[in-house]
Amino acid sequence: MGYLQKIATLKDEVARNPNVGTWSWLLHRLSGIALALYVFPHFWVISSAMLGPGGFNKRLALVQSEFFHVVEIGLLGVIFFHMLNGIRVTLVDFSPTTRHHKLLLGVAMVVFLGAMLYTLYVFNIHYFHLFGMGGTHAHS
Amino acid sequence: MRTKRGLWAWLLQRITALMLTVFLFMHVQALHFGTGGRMIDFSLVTERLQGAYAGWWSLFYLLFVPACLFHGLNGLYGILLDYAPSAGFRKAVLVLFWVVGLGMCVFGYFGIRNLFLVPA
Repeated sequence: MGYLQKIATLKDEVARNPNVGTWSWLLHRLSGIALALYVFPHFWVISSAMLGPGGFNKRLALVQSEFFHVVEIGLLGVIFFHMLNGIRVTLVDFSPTTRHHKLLLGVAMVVFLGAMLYTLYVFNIHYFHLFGMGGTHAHS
Repeated sequence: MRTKRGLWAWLLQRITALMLTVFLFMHVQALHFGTGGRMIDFSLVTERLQGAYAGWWSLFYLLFVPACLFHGLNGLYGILLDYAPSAGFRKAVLVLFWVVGLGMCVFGYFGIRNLFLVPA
């Protein structure tokens, strides 16, 4: 079977086992790929420190526009999902919680939602200033 | 032999995962939540990396960067194994990932060196 065909069977995978575990497995995989690829442009941005303070500031400014702050929320979301689901996987692997993995996923997702709400709250105060929140900081 | 390799890959993935949970928490706090909305620039970073905890932060990155690269590349390699590639392809990817991982560690070292040494 060709690789593309095998990837297409992901749909069958979900159809065969339409339980939450399959979704958590799939999302863990997709978020993992995204984060592994993210490391490379991230290194490129930070390595501009080799160019000295001027070069660093110029490149860092590129990725701190309002648009990139929105992207950053997405990045943190991917990190938090992978982290919390990963903790669940590790607990299931190493502790006698195996039979409660669905409950654990529920707990992980509640914490995930909390982390995202906190992120939105902090980012609004830092950058977006909706509902008259924050905005006292003079950030250039 | 192969079972042992698989065991190490799995165990190291768990160990680096726990390291990253702690390190990423600190990383996100320092650079995403804890900036108070101040723009991240050379002075913001050097205040932290050349401040009172400079030694601890260099130890932090010495562990964080390799753990990150191992976890990411080992994860991608595990996904590849799910698609049952030929032995030759598998080996080629393994070598490539080690070269990329070690190369990125060296690149990372030189990449952030100035942040510890050059005054803002």
